[in-house]
Amino acid sequence: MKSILSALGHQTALLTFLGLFLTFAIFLGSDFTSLGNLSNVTRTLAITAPLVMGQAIVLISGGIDISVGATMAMAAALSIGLQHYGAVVSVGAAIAFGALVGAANGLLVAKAKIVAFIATVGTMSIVRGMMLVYTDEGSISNTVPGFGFWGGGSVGPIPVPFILSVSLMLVLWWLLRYFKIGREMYAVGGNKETAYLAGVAVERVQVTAFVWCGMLASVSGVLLASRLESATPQIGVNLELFSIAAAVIGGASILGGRGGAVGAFFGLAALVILTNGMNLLGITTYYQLATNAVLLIVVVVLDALRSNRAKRQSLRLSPRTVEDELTPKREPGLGGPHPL
Amino acid sequence: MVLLAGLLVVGAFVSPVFLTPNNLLNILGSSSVLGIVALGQCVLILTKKFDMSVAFMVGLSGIVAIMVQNAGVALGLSFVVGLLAGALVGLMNGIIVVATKANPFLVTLGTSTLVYALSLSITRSRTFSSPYEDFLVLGTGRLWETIHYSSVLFLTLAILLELVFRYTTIGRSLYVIGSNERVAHLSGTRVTRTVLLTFITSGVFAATAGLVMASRNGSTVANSGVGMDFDSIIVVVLGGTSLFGGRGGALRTVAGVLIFGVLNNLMVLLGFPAVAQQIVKGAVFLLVIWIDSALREDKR
Amino acid sequence: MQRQVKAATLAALMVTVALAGCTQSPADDQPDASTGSEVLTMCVVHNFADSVSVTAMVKGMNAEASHYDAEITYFDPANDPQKQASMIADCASRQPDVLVVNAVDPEAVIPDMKRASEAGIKILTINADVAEDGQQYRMSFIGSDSFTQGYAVGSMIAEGLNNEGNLAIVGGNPGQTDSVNRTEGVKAALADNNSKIKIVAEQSANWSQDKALTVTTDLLTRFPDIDAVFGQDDPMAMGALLAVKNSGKTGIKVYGVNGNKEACASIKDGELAGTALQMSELLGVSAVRAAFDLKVGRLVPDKILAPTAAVTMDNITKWEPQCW
Repeated sequence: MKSILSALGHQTALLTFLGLFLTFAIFLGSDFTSLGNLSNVTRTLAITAPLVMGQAIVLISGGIDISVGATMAMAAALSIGLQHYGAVVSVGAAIAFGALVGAANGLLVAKAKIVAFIATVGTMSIVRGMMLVYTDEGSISNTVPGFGFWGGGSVGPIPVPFILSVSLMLVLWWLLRYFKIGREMYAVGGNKETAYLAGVAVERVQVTAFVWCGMLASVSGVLLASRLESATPQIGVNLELFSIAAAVIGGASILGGRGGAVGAFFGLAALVILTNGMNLLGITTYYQLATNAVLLIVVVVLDALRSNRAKRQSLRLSPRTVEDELTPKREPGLGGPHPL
Repeated sequence: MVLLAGLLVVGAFVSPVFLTPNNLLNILGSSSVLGIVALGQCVLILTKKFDMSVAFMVGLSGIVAIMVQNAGVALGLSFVVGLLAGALVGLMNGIIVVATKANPFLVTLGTSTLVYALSLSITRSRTFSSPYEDFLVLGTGRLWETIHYSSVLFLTLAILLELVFRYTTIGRSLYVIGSNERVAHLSGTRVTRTVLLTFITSGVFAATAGLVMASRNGSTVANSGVGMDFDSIIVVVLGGTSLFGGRGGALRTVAGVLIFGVLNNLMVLLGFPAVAQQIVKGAVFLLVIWIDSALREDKR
Repeated sequence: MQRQVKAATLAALMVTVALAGCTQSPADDQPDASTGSEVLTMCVVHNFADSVSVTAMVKGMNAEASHYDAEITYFDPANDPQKQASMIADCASRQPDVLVVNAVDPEAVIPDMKRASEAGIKILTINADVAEDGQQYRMSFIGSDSFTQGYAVGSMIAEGLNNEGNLAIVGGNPGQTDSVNRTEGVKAALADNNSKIKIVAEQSANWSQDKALTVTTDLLTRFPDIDAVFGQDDPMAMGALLAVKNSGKTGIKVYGVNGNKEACASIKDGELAGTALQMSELLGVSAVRAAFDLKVGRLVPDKILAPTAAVTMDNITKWEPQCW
């Protein structure tokens, strides 16, 4: 049991992905492995990947971001709606918007000490409303020719966004592992107090994580807008839970301090293939919904069990009494509870 | 309370229609369904947990009740079945959370989709109607020709709940669990059992609200409760119950429900488009949560 | 971590190789449509399989399929435009004789429809058409003449209100063809009748019964002098009707479109004032017929529109058997 729990992460995502891939390849044959299907799946994977990696980053730093879907939708809308200023401007605006939302989220969590999922639920509502107002509840489309290349085009058999997303994944992996900010994020997610005592500017790190996430969600939005050459209000709905599940399969934990961009990428790959397989098998919407829900619950539960085990082990080291519990911990200026 | 009075005054200025008894009764009536859900949510929030599955639970209970009615079950029994559905879902939520200590927000988000899938698969997306005329009485009838039965139900439940909170051991233990779960555990409270009960309660309340909702319509609608998960939290916090647990109550939640109802009504009277309303709700939510958080800082 | 990256790169390579290597395989297993095999293969992408109209359409398609030796595969993106786009791409890669799309969003389907059409696949749209820019990629649109439906309702309203009063319209999705056309139809009918009826409000309820209930309640609060409400489909009309009943106001007439069983029953009971028939099952049937025509190389009209009929209490007995 313990080994299963600790296995959730790193290699699990990869193995799950490969396992599912092979299973479907065997059972569905050319329906699944045909160039058309795989190309399609890869494209969907590539478009959603930035957002999922962003979620992983936030999770690593100890937070969670429920507003990613809404940000993606608004970014998509902006990248289309502002096209008459030129594609560069519209895409830039979209990403800037994502950074803005991320900053807002970050400040709410770090400064106002609001619990992350509650804060981001609030921003989600506002951003979604903004998107609906901006598009007048309908869809908008107005693209410069060539805009569709980034999301919809292909280089040979490989979809363009795949190339972009894999590059992004490598960049993020490198940042998280070799740059100070990356390691600081892991530290903050693992134990805020310790990180603070070690000299990390905790609040700045938290905000940075959210800003990156917002920007990555926007990238996903722009890619989708490019593929569909339009933006519609249904974009990103329910993507929040999906992204959390993918990131956690890839090793992230809701309690923070672990995970990675590569893992999240493969976690997403596994989920996307699962959905594709289910579609090809003709499994009805209800069962797909139920499967996704069960998957999320299982993933969250496993993560909690793993964290509990770790917590319980550390607690056993110092027996606590009722008095210990009642005296407020001496927290140097951090205030507020752990994000979750 | 002050806030409520203030809004009422503003409302009076805003529109001539506002202070009419009809309008006010309508506000009460239409808020009652959310109100009942919020009462259940309040029980959970006191213990620092959430139930995000209420939104689709509302739909499910109505669907279950109507489906069994169509299978020949008597009206009264069908209500019991609907409530039972709520209790079962609540139990499931509770068991998962208690056994694994997983984040209740996320777990119930997951179960919420499950419940939705269940609702859809039961009805196969056709709409079914209740074969009983009397079914509509609960949702649309009025006591003494003025107050909706749903409002009466809402207020009665609120009062009952408040009594439980103040005068029963289990009620008061909720506050302790919310403030500091370990202490509650160490001091002998049966935390596990209580938490399970809170989830069941939330499920049952959501189911009750769903039955009222279904009896307004007379037919099955799977997503009739959409948004109520978010809204119920707003309303509870608006009324003064803290998200950090340990503070709040049922009557305060009633105040919160009314404020929310008035706010909505004002926005409609002012002609706000529905999407703008969503932005306002989000902003209000953040504002309220922020105040809640800030207040907590001081108390420490 | 190093090991993970190596593994990741390996997997990425695998996928790329699979993609490249699979250039040969795709449709070898499937009968090549152009060599004229007997079976008519159709790939249908719904908007949302979960709705009453789509269920009726599928019924029609399956019924007709048996006459034409057709094999139909259905996909359901549950109202998600990205999913629909990828299902269209998916369908295209299977090289069916005909691809049928019920657009979730009239714009979002265009790029993938374009690619499918350029790959030589014949496309039909059903129920919800693609936007104007995309119409060149589809051979025909099979749908209801929503303008005429609106017109029928408009005529009923004009007569029912004696040509004066206040009307509120509760719409589907803003910008969606059906919603726009039905409103236009109503306005045209009112104009043709020289009617003094004023449209005091137009608000969308996204084809949801529940939303229509809330929206209508709000409208009734804001505009106490509404005389009639037009819900652009029957579920919404029923929602609006309930709102009217709850408000306690009498004399407000409610109209819908579809001809669903609940609506017809309501008309018979004298509650709902009228509805315009939508022949969803017929749409499904027509789609299969058009698909067959396309396969054997016949021309099909740009639009195949199903007729409608205005149903009120006066003629309900005649139309009741058609209610669905």
